[in-house]
Amino acid sequence: MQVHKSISDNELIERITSGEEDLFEEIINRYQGAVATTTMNMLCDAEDSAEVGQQVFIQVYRSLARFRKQSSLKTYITRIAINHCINFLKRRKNFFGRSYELNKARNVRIKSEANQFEYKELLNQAFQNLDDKHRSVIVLRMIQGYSTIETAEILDVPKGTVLSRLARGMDKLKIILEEELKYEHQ
Amino acid sequence: MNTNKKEHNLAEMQYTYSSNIGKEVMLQIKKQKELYLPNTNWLLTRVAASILLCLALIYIQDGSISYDTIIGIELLYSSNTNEILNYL
Repeated sequence: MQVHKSISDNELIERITSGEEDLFEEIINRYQGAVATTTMNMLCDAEDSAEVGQQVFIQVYRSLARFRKQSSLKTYITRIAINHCINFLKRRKNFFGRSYELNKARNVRIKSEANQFEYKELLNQAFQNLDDKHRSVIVLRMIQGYSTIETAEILDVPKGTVLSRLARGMDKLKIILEEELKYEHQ
Repeated sequence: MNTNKKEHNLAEMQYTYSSNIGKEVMLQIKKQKELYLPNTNWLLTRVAASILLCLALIYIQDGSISYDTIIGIELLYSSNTNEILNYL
């Protein structure tokens, strides 16, 4: 696989679609970090993230021949990952209800209290309390580092919606974090 | 902890999967392909067997295989057309 690291994404896609299917592993290795970051921050659960991550790559493999190269492969894969996460969250909420995510958030808190309290875990916990639409914008814009236009393309919403969701999401995040930190200091 | 650091900390919320994710996904893809392929083979084998069986039956019945025997007008050619016209 080392040899394939110098091959461009477009060449990889052409070779995979023309029969060299094993090269798809190189695409997984290149973008597993982007998918893991998206799914883990959206779902806040390692097992769910791994499950959805596999589904995402299988979906990417199936739809690779239809990829029109209008955006980068990373953007295309992230779009599939976000859509899978949103669908997964809908199913999880329908099945377990909203309380599931809040309980999960408390579990993160309990785990982290047992060890050294880390800010990353606190943020992870705070994400659980955000709506999917705010969470997805923050994950793409602030964590993945996509531009506002790219985020709008991925989520298929206008640029203004991204900006307003980002502002509202960051405000909510700030309030949640401040409450959590007050609770921590009590 | 200062909440103003949150933007900087957000950028650090990066994760990765275990190193064998690529192999696991490739295994899943191969398994799914194997699930679909036998179904296609199963269908094609049965369609081919049905066609062969039909051809064998036609050969047994008519003694030869031609376009006419397959569509069933061999008997019409061999019989007396006048008899058919009288019957009508």
